[in-house]
Amino acid sequence: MSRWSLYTWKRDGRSLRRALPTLTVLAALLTTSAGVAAGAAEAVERDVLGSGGLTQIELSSFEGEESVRPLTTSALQDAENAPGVRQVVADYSSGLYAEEDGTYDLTSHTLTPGDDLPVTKGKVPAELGRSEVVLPAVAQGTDFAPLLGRTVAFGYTKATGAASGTTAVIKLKIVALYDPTWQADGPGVAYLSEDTAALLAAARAGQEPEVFRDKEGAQSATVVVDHQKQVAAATKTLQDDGFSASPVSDRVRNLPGLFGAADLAMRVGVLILALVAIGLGVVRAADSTRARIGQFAILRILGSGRPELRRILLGEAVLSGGVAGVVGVAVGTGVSLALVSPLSDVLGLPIKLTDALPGPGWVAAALLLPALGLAVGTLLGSREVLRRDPYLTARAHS
Amino acid sequence: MNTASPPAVAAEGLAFSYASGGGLTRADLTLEAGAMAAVEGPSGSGKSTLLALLGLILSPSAGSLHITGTDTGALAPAERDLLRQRSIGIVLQDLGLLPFLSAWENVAAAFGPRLGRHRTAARDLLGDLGMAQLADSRVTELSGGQRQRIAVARAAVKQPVLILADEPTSGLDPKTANSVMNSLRSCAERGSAVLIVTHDSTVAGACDQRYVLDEGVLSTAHKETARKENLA
Ligand SMILES: Nc1ncnc2c1ncn2[C@@H]1O[C@H](COP(=O)(O)OP(=O)(O)OP(=O)(O)O)[C@@H](O)[C@H]1O
Ligand SMILES: [Mg+2]
Repeated sequence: MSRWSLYTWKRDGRSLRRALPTLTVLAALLTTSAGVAAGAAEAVERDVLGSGGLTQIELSSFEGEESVRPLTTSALQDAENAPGVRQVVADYSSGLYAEEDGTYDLTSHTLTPGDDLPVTKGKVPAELGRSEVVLPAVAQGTDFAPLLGRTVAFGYTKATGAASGTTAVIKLKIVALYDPTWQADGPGVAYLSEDTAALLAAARAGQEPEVFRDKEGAQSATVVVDHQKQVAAATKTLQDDGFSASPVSDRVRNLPGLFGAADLAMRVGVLILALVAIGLGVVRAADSTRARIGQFAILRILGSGRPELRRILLGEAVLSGGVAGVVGVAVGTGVSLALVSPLSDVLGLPIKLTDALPGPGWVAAALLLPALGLAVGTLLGSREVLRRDPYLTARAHS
Repeated sequence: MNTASPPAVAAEGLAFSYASGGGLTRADLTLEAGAMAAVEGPSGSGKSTLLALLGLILSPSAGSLHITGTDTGALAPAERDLLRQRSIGIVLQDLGLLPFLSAWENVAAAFGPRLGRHRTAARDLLGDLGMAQLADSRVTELSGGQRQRIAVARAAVKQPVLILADEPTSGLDPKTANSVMNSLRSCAERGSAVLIVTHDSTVAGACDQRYVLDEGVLSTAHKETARKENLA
């Protein structure tokens, strides 16, 4: 860094200051994505773990997968007997549709201990009764608010043959409504007791519930242990018993899909930021040095050596990259905080402002990489032009 | 003047050749402090090359160069740069002022990048040279003659041991040329050795010593020019 850089960077349009806008935008983008991803991950983790996720183990049945034990009645009984297990709730999926008014067609699931519904009206009892249902406040244009507390007839499919079926009717009391933006199991889900959910799933398969539960089994089940400390041992026991079992907390921590992709995208973003900074440095430094060769020659006759000319360029690079980093992080953090409310709507989860602050690693990358990359690029880009004394180059040009 | 002190410049057998072939074949020259000398010669004879060598920008391929007794051949590049910054002021034919600095800042730049520290010296000198009203101008708004005078001020402001000026009066009207020469003369009077490259015999005639550079060889021109002027 040379003191001359302060003058050239501030006053000379041909200096490396030109790299500032691009790097600022990239640093801001990286900071914003880091903040948004952190906010979403925090909110999801808090939501899942807050609803008892730390003491839960998820069992999955993979249809057609021989090596995984199906979640039949006897299998679930075994799971319940594993050490430390307090409760096993099996999830059966089917459908409920409008019988009297409305045209809705809802997916039905068991209300499991892991479901932390954001209830807007009514109250979910400690254990849902066989003839009770929890619905989204609104689904497919039907507003269920007027029906809250009432017993309503719903239709469901009862298979009578391989490709034929009739509609059966079940009367259920709507005990609570939840915020429809909460879509952990997809949109428009009706939550039922385990027995009722199994009844609907069995009817759709054309079987008696006991037979269905015994032969086909559940889609998945939530195992609740007494204490967080028992999760690892219980998971191991269940896996040894042939179940596909994984702690819910693990599943959240390395949420594979969305957050895995976001994480990868950010790593790529860091790489892009570094490469663009270096590339910009190479190109801008070469151009700028060539364009300013006359000025450099004057600085030579005023007593600057070639190392000092290099330090002038490096100083410009550090100033440009540094300002880009600071402004980018500030703007990016601001944007990320401003996105908290829309993101919260999209996810259907509350996000705190502090959740959406980008992590220190990402902030450090956004702060430092523009300056570092630009400096490295500048050294590379100016090498060729500064190899020759600018005095000679300038005189050869004129 | 202390006669025991070494000359401002002592060059012996100075030579330089560019990769393309041209350059300087041989230059011997001694300038005492306060001396004012002119170098004349046809285009391409090596005048600017000689100046770049004396200004420690180029390193000679042969010969020796002492600046106030310091053997410049023994210096590391950074030491040469420092010596140039401290002791030599240069006015170049085709390289002018730094466009991102104002007039007084260009003058102060002779001391290095801490411009604010030399604000007073720079502005005072511009005032002495009758350019006080130009001090804050952007150099892009100055005429060629004004720029040339500011370049001379920049070379003079630190009262260096040696001032090298490459055609400082070319393209100037006689009045402006005269004021540039007066500035250089007053630098010499304050103790700088001044070497001026010129095509203008009036300018050369105003100097105490005259050299001629022809095909890369420097020689004194005392008698020849004296005779020519007597004849004229
Ligand atoms: N940068 C350079 N690279 C290669 N050759 C050069 C370079 N500069 C000058 N020369 C050559 O060196 C010789 C001396 O050039 P120099 O510039 O010293 O001449 P000069 O006497 O100053 O001429 P002028 O009066 O036109 O300014 C010329 O033949 C010129 O072509
Ligand atoms: Mg010349």
